[in-house]
Amino acid sequence: MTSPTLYQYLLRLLPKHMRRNYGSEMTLVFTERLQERPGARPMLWIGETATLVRTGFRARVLDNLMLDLRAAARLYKRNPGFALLAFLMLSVGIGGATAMYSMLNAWVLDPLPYRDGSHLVLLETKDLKRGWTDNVSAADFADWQRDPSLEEATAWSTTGFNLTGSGDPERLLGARVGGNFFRLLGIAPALGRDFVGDDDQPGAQRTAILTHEYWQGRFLGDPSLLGKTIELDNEPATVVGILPEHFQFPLMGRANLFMPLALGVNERADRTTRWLAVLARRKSSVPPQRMQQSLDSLTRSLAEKYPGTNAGKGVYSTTLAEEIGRHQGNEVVVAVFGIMILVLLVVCSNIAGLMLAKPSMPSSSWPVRRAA
Amino acid sequence: MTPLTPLSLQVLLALADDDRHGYAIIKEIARQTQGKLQPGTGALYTSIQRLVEERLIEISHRRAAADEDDPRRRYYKLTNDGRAALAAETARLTELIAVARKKKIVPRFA
Repeated sequence: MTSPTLYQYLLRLLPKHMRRNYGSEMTLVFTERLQERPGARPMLWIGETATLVRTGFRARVLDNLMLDLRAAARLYKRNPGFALLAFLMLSVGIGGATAMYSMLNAWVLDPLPYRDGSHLVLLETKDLKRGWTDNVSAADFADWQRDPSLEEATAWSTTGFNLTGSGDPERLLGARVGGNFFRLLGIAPALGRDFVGDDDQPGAQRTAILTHEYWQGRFLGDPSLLGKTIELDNEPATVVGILPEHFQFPLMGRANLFMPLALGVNERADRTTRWLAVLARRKSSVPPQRMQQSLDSLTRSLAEKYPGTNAGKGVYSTTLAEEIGRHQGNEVVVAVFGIMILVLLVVCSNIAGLMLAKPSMPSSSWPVRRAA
Repeated sequence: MTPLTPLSLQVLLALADDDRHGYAIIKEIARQTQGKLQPGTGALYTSIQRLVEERLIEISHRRAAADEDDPRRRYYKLTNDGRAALAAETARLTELIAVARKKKIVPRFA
């Protein structure tokens, strides 16, 4: 096949009118270039093909799209009632499907917004006889923490704080958390620092970390708040850190302020008061079943050692994902998403039906449009 | 009207002093830009088509000498609008350069 013939095949990529107006001239120019620079032939062919593909795509697809959009705009101007109806139906269909998709995404597809979220587990005391569950005592927590199947464990307890001092006094929800709580989740404060070991000791200077939202709302995002003291329950506490935006730990509700647990000696020894919620990170080398077995044998030995408080007590573990309710919601969300997709299809077919039922466009415009 | 693309501007500039045919335009652009820009045939004719549609250039009636004339060959020339557009674009670029100079932007040539 000679170069001009091959090039004329390539020209078919262009829209008809351009090929008709300039095709033969382009072939001439291209042949002249090939003859003048024989060494650059492969490059010329490659470059030319690329340009023709690009030009052809733009002219055929985009220009036609513009024509269609203009035709649609003309049609809707003539027929606003129909346009409004179609618009509303499509809004409902697309809106519903999008809303359900966001739920599906947040509950099913997205991983937990914490480091290695799938390894996070919640541990509770289980009454082996009656089957119910309870929080964990500080002494039990200290023992569980050392279980070899766990990489690390931390604890928290939600509580209310009275914020006084500057501005209006306020009652806000917060939590006392283990010094390693945020580290275990893989969350670093956006400003300032995380709790350190010393903060979590009894008698240490009181420190607090705020959520980004509360810092913005109450303190107008004032960066000089870091290192300053605020009055919490009539005692000063130093603000050491601000969490990243959108941080939330759903099991705490809308907790906005965190202080270290700083367990005292008496609290640490206490096995009677079960008041801590325990979050742990399972070692990635340990499968969930082995972790449960390991914890079971640990609680059995504790029950023998401390029969007064621990007899008949085991451990109940769930993954954080399950606890947050993702898994219970799973099937429902997937089903409703499916339904919304069907609704969207019904909407589309209804609109198609409406379009067919009315002469949507003067048929005389089609030959003109096709020619363009 | 959409702004001139760099290639369209080069085409107008190539036609500013003489009417030329397609291949001569390519060669003139290469000369104008010291070889930095050598448009492909497809790109050139896309640009030519738009310029013709916007009436900035038109087909000239001039023919080449008989020995290199080919019935397929067409010459293009600037229209009055095309000359005005080229002048306006040049003025715009001159102002741009003046501002850049004032801001101590030093041109670096490859």
